[in-house]
Amino acid sequence: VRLARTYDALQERTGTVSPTPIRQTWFEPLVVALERSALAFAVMLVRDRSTAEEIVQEAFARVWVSPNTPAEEAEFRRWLYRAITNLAHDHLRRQARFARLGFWLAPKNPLDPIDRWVEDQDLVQTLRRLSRREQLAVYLFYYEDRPFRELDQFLGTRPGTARKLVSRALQKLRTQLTVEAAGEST
Amino acid sequence: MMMHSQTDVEARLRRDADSVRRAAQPGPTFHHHIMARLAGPAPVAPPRWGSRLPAQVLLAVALVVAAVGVYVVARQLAPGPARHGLAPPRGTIVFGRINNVNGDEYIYTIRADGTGEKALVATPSCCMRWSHKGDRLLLAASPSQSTLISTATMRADGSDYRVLPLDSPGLNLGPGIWSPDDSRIAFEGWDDSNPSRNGIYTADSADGGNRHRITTTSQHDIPISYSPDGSKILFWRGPANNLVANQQMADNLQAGQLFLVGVDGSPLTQVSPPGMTSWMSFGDPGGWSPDGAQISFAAFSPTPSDPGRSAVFVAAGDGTNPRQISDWGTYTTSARWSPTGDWIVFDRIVSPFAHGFLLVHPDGSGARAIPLLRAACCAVWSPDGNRLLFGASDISDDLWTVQLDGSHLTPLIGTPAHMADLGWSGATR
Repeated sequence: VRLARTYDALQERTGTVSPTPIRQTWFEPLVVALERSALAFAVMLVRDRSTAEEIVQEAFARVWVSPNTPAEEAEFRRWLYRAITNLAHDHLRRQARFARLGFWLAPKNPLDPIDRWVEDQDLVQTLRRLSRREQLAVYLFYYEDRPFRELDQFLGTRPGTARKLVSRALQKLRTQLTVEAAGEST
Repeated sequence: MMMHSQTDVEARLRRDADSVRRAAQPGPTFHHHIMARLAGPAPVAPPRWGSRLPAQVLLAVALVVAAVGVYVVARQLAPGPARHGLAPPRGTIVFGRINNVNGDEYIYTIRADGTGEKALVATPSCCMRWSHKGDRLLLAASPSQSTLISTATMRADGSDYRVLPLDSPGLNLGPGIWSPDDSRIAFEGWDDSNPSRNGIYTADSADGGNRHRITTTSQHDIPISYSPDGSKILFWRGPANNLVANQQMADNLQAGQLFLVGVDGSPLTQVSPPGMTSWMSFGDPGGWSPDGAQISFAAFSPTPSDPGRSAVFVAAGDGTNPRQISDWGTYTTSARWSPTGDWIVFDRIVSPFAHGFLLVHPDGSGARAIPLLRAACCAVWSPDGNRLLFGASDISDDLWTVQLDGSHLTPLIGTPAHMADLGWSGATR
């Protein structure tokens, strides 16, 4: 795989031939297998379908060019989700920076299905206050319905750690949502 | 106050998960878009030697025999830059990078071919400008034992760092612009406790001596560029906010007007049309034609229904007779003349989801968009006028170069950079 990728990169840099046939032997199946969950993860983080698509495409591109990206699916998914997390947080940081300017924040596509959501805005804002690791754990457990055993493998933690992480995140959500609700009622 | 129950929170999470899953159904062509992106010009990231070196060394060792074979084959197949009919970009680029949580900006240079990235100073700075010879930079500095902002100059390799002295208590002299022969610098001067001292000052670039005050204002006067013959200064005048640190510039976006003043302090000429405004927060809103006969700039004429209504204008070299040369667009913040004199590049929102830039001839003809894969801002010309340097404003704030026809879109750095604090010198470090 690494040979193929190195050769691909050389060919791209020198502009010789399309490396697509080589890619298809290992990379494209991973794209097909993971695009749905990757897109859901990005949507959960940024709450905008178009931005999420852009982030997922960029994440795959970054994972592709990295010479260390593993080809095994579970490990590949870890790399991909890490890239998505970083890109999403960069986006949200920039969005906050420019929010007051009304600049770069182009209008959303009115046909975007996410616009038709009746979003649980308090929950969305509270989720954003979790750490990246907590967000990922919550996402894997509640949004992908993965068991704690898989979470521990995914996060590279000892058995039982993921359960504590989710529990702690849930406690934070409870506290914050209670505070939000109290603020709204006063 | 009743605490939410765990069951209630979990139920809300599961409802949200259902919504996310419904909204995140990939279309049938989504994976093709991903694969196309891999096959396009964007995905080859520049090397990041700091983080990649160990892995690359290991890879090289493991694949040494095969790599030699691949290299030989690739060399035989590769057309190379010369066979593309296109030389690699030359010169040195200076850029800012915000690399800590405080939003401090640090200054780097990199060769235009993407090699040799180097951090220049260990302290936060901003607002860099290449000298016309390309051998020195000026940038913001904070003298020791002082809370004021001054200007420093340094060689392109980071040596010979000189902070120009501040000898008038309370008066900041922030970085401005080089005169055409690089012997003088025009500063933005301001005094937070005494705004009557605000204005443009000039001084010798070598030691800050021989200082003269050029303008007087209670607002802020920020020099944009000397005229090519060195007789006039184009500058922006706007509300008195702390506009020196670039992050604050972005956070305190304010609209102002463009003016000309003689270097002897002769009376001002307003360049931007009355009632219109120009933005300074994303780099220079305009500049001179290479022969000094005209000035290009972007100006806003907002309406209640279109707050970003803006266009490109060209005025005579004496600042008079501004005329609109582009149609009205949305959020045009800059209009910059090419070094060859035949194009002006300007930015605007080009699609519902992306800022981009366009080219137009100075007479208003030939307007066309530069096709990009990325949302982009604030293009800077290469010294030969064949390429543009810009920051992608969509996802990652990284820097790219591109040919005027949109070809050879090439990543310069793969890490976030300040979109508007950029410069390209013809000299190679």
